Amino acid sequence: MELITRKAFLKTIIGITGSFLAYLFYKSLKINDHIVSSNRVQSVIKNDFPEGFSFINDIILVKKNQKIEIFSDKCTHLGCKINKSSGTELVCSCHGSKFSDNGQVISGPALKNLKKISFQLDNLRNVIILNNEA
Amino acid sequence: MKLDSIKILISRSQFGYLSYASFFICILSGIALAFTFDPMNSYNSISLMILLNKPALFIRSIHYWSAQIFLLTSVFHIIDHLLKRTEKDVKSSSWVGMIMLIPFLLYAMFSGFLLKGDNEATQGMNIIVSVLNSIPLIGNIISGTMFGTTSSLQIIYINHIITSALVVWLLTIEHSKKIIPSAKSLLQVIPLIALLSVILIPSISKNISPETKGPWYLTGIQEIFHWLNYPEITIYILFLILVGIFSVKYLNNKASGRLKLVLLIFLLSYSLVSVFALFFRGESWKLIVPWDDNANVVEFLTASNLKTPEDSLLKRKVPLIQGKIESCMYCHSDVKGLSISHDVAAIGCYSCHLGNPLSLDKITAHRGMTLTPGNLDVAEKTCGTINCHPGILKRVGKSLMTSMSGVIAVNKYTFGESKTPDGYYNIENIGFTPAETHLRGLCAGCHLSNNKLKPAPIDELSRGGGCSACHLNYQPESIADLENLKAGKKSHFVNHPEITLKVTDDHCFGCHSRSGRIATNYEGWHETHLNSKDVTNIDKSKFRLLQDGRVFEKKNDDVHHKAGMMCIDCHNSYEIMGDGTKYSHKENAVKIQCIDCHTDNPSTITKDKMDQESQRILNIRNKTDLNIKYIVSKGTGIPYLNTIYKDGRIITELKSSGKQLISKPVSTLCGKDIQGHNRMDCATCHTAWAPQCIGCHTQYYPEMTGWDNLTNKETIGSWLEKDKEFYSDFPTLGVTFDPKSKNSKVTTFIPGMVLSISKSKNEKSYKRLFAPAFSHTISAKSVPCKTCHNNPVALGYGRGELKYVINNNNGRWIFSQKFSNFSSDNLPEDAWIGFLQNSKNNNSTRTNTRPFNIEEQKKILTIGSCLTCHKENDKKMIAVLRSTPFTKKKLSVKCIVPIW
Repeated sequence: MELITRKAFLKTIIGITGSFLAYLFYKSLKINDHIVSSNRVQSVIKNDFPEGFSFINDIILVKKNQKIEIFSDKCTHLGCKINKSSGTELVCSCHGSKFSDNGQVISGPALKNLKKISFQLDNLRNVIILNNEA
Repeated sequence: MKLDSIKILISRSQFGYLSYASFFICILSGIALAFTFDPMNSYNSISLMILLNKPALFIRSIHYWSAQIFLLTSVFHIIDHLLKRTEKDVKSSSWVGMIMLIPFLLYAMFSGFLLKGDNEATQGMNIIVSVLNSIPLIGNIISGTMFGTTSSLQIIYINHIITSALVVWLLTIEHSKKIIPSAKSLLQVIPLIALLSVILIPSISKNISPETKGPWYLTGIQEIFHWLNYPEITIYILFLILVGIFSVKYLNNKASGRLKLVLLIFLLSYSLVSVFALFFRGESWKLIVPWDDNANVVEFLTASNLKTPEDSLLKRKVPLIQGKIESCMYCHSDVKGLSISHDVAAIGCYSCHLGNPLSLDKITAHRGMTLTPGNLDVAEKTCGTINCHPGILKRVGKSLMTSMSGVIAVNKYTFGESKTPDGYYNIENIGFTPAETHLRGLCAGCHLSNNKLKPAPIDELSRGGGCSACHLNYQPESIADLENLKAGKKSHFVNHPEITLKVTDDHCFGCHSRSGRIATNYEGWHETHLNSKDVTNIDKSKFRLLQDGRVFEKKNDDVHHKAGMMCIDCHNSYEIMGDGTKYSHKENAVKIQCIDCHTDNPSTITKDKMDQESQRILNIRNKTDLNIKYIVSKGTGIPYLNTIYKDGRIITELKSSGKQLISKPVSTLCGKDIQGHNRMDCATCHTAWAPQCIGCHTQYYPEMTGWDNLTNKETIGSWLEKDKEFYSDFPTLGVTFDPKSKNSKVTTFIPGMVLSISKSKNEKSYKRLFAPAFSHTISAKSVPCKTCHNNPVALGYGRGELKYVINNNNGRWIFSQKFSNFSSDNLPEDAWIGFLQNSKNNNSTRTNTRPFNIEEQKKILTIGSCLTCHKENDKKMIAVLRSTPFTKKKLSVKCIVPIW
């Protein structure tokens, strides 16, 4: 009497191998995603922006009464790149969400405020150092 | 027989065959397209097809249209089957396959859209990845497997050409039981695809429009997303729809029928929403109508784009502009004359002049272009785009040279239309009140938002032009090119005018030779009542005829002008283009002060500590030394980029010639330590003269044809201005109060709006307003003391004889006026105040300025009485004046001070 049929054995082997390959595939996606998201183009920028909005790579810098705030340029609704301002508002071109110059939602569809990016001011070198995880 | 054929052709049952035939053509065209399409450089790859590779463009068009028809006919085929209730006859395994086909079909379509690699595709990629990632647990895996990362099209390309194509084909074969579609269905669909592929060739977006639209079949979802705070719901709805379609096979007839009705209603509703989103949504999600000029509904190329380009074009090598192909380069790569930062090899033509950068047809390529990209109405798409100078554009929009706020505020106050001469206005927003039509008729041309209508070098008649008003310089070669183009001798502009920081005084002259006339004052020209006929044989050293017909006579020019300094040697970018603050009046916007340079104790700054704009300007001027100490304005901290502090000297390098000037510190002889002089502005002693206009009258003629300088159009009704006398005397002095520091200072004034106004026969008014004015006629040597202390014009009394009369040891000042009193306010026509009188309501163009009050007049005239006997350098007198407090006890018994 056979412990296991040939067909069942093959199915088991294929199942284990398939699962292992699927696991490797899943891990490869994760690692790739991590590498890309941490690869910020510029993390140190000169601290000399005019009043109002400045769009730099993947961030929006807002200077108001000499006070600086930095936000991600990704719309919190569906991740579109925000690249236009109208007066003191930022408008997402994909679905029309509007944000104020302090990153807060003025009108939807976005519900969350723009993601704030933390930074340090280096007054000695007159630069802004962005935190990389942003 | 023929009728039957037609019936079969349009029969509903044909949709499945047509769908498969379209898909088959789509696959074949896709294989052909793969040889020329580069997924790693997709935008340029498609650009090349549009411009040069016409066979590939046609294949792409076939690929696009066969895919669209495949989608449409598939949907109709599904509806057809559901209406016929054929789902009951299908095996369960086949039914599952058919349902599976729907998401793969949608994926194949949408991945094709993403492979365009343009702005819309990038945003589409962001959206789909974001939506899929919101699915719990498996979202990331689905997103990574189907779309990869947002920064690469590699996975999408593989899935588009292999995974989705293979799966859809296999499932279609399984469904249709055919490997190749029938010849009949191919013959039916090929003419339609070919026709559409020729007349409507799909293009790509030019990556500059702030309008983002998805593919036509997803605009409905885009609109739904706009209203949906939780967009991930859409995924579940789509899944439910699939489950719904799947279920119709297994429900009883009644329930199945109801479900089909629901699905049909949903499809119709979605179609309506899609049409709305496609045609009625515009830039920044605003509502538009499709026939609006600015509507950019769907962009297709026409059949003319399939014309084979000339061989010479195929061989031509052109530079990539910011990594992208720009068709303008095929004809205009030889354009020269621009500086490095604006060179065509760096930024191309399209980023400034717009038009169509994906066409080699002259008419199409030039359609929508602007010849005057500096104009502020287009600058948001040209100079002010986010990659160029967006911050500056916003500042310029608020600056006084754009808003004309002070001019409007004072004019409205003069006409009695506002309670104060302050407040912020913008010329673009004025209406048609008497004051506003007066502005439209006489003043409203001098603002930066006035559009330059055609390319032309700057001259004395130039007005407006936005960025070009200051930064465009025509070289002799570019003027020659322009003339040749006008004369039809040349078809091509090669020598582009320079876009530069070399803003010459000529750029400023047109507007600033009017009103306060600081441009003409600075050069030492004073306006006369002569006309061009009076100076036919003009002596150019004594008279100057301007292009507008006004004749000016020679006076002393400003000491800085004598030294070769231009306007921009003093005035910096934050003054001229604004600093982002809305100022009411010019003196609020000015940052510089005389003492910034004329001191032995300057404030300095090095380049690395400066703001970005100043650093950029220094870079353009090749100033790289980080140890150089630049002079910085004490009041505002803004650096002078041409003035340095070296070896204890302040050296200004002229921006035009590079000549170096050494600034002298304030003289020890400067009388600031004399009582009362410590609050005097430098200009009060160093102004040589200022233009003064007496007795101006302006009248409205309702029947006369006029010109609206704001709209540049003719109007019915016109304001005409008549003036009496022009003087080039020492200005009147007055007091300016600074609310911030609570200090006041004595400064120079000229008649600002001394105006009688006739709005109509019965409606007349009169205003006598003096304006603070920095004349720009500075002399190195200060004026004699008597110029202020014994001068009726300086004191505000107007012209005449101011005499100190002594009788019986009593001194008394007497004033005999030159001009008779004006009936409206009983003051001499050229006066600001009455002799030894207080002004009733300050009569000034500012709320914080005023003429001297009686006490101040008495103090000034008391010293004036001293000067009637003593020479101004009399040491005894100066010693007494410098002693504090100044009392009569310190005077000699011979001194006779005035009695009042």
